Amino acid sequence: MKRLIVDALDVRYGQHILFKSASLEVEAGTMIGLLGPNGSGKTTFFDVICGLKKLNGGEVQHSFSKLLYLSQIIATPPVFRMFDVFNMMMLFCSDTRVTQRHALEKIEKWSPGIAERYCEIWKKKSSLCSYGEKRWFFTLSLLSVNADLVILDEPTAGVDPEFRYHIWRCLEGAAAEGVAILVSSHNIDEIVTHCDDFYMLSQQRFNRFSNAEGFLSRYGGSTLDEAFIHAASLPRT
Amino acid sequence: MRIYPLSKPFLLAKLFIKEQLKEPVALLWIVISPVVTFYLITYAGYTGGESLRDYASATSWFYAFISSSVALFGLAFYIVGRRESGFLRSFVYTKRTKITFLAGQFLAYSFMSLIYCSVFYVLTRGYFGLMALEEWLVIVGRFYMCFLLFSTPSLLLTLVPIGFQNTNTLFSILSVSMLALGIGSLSTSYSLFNVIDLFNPMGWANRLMLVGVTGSATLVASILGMIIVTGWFVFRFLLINPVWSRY
Repeated sequence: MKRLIVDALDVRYGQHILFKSASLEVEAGTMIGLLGPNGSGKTTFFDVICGLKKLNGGEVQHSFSKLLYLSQIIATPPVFRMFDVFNMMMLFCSDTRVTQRHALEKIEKWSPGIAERYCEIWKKKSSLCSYGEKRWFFTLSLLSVNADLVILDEPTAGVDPEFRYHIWRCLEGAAAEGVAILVSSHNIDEIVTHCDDFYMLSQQRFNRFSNAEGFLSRYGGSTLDEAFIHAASLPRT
Repeated sequence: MRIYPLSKPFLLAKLFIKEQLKEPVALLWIVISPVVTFYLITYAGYTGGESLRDYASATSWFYAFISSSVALFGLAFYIVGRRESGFLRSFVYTKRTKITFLAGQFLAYSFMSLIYCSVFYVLTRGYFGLMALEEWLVIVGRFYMCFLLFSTPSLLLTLVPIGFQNTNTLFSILSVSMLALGIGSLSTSYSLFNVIDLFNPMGWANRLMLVGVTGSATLVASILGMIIVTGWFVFRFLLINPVWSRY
C-alpha cells in the first residue's frame, strides 16, 4: 500500500529546534489530521515534505505518484475571474487537461448539491470573492485533480460552516477513493470528527491519536481545547 | 496527451498576457510616458532651422529605456510580486512547475516587449515620415535583443531576498541611474563618465539600437549566452517562500 513515512525527523533553524526525532505516517485512503500551536512548525513540516526545506536528520519517503499541496496563503491575480484562476492552477497541478465538467463531476459526487455554488464562484472576479470563497474553491478544485497524496494547510480557516461542511464531505469522498490526505487545522473538533487519525505536534514530535478520548487522557483537561493548551504548554524537550 | 505538458508554458503565458492587458494603467505608463517625454524633448530641442535627425538616432535612448523597463518592471518585478504574494509557494515548488512558470513568464514578457516596442514605434514614427514594415521589423529585432540584455541582470536581481517595496525602489534607482549616466556621458568630456559608460547596459542597448544586431555580433552572442546561463541559474535558485515569511 502507498504511504508517506516520516521517520526520526530532525529540523532546525540555526539554534532553534523545530523537530527532534519526529515520526508520522499517512496511508493511501486515509485522512490524517495535524494539530499544533501557532509557530510549532506545521507549515515548515509541509515545506519539508514538498522538498523546500532540507531536513537535518531522519528520513521522509513516500510511494505516491502525485503530491499536491494547498498552502495557507492563497494569492490570485485580482483582475482574473475564478475560471482563469482554475485554469492557471491546473497548469501547475495536473498533468492532463482538467475542465470544469471534470471538476464538477467529482465534487458533485462527493457532496451533492454543490455544483450550483461552485459555478457561481467560477464566474466571479477574483477580487470580488471573499477569502472563504477562494479557499473553498481552491480546495475543491485541487481535489478534482488526480493526485494520490493531498496536503492541505488549514483549508477551513476563515470558511463559513456551509463551505466547511462541503470541504469535509469532499475530503472524505476523496479519501474513500484512495487518496491519502494530510490536513492541518486549529479547529480540534473538526479534526477529531472527520479524520481517521490525527497527530498533535508537541515537544517537537508528532503524537498519534485515534479519538478524542485518547487525546484527553494523554494531555488532561475536560475539553479538547483544554487538552490542546496543556499539550502546547509542555516543555519543548 | 503529450502535447498538453509541452503547451503549458504557452497557455500560462496567455494568461499572464491577459493579466497584463487587464491592467491598462501600468501598460500605458510604461509606453505613454516615454512617448510624452520624447515629444517634449524633441519640441524643446527643435528650433525650426535645422533638419530633423534620423528616426533611429532620435529614438535609440527611448527604445533602450523602454526595453529596460519591460525587463525590470515586467519580467522581474512580477516574479518578485508572485513570490511575495505567496503565489509561487502555492503552486511552484517542483522542478516541473518551476520550468512551466519561468518559461511562461518569459514568453509572456517577450510578447509584451514586442507590444511596447510596436506601440512606441506607431506613436513616434509619424513625426519623421511614413512608417515602413521593414523598418519596424528591424527595430523590433534590435529592441528584443535589448530586452534580453536587460533580462539577465533583472532576473538575477529576483534572487536577492528583498521584499516587494524594496525591489521597486531598487529597480527604480537602477533604471534612472542607467539612463542618467548614459545620457550624461553624451555631453561631457569627463573621462570618469566615459569609463562608467563602458559598463552601462543602457549605453550598450543604445548602441545596439543604433548599430543593429549584425553590427553588434559580439554583444549579441554575449547576450544570448548570458540569458541561457541566467535561465539555468534562476531555475536552480528561484526563491519560493516570500521574504516576509519567517523562514
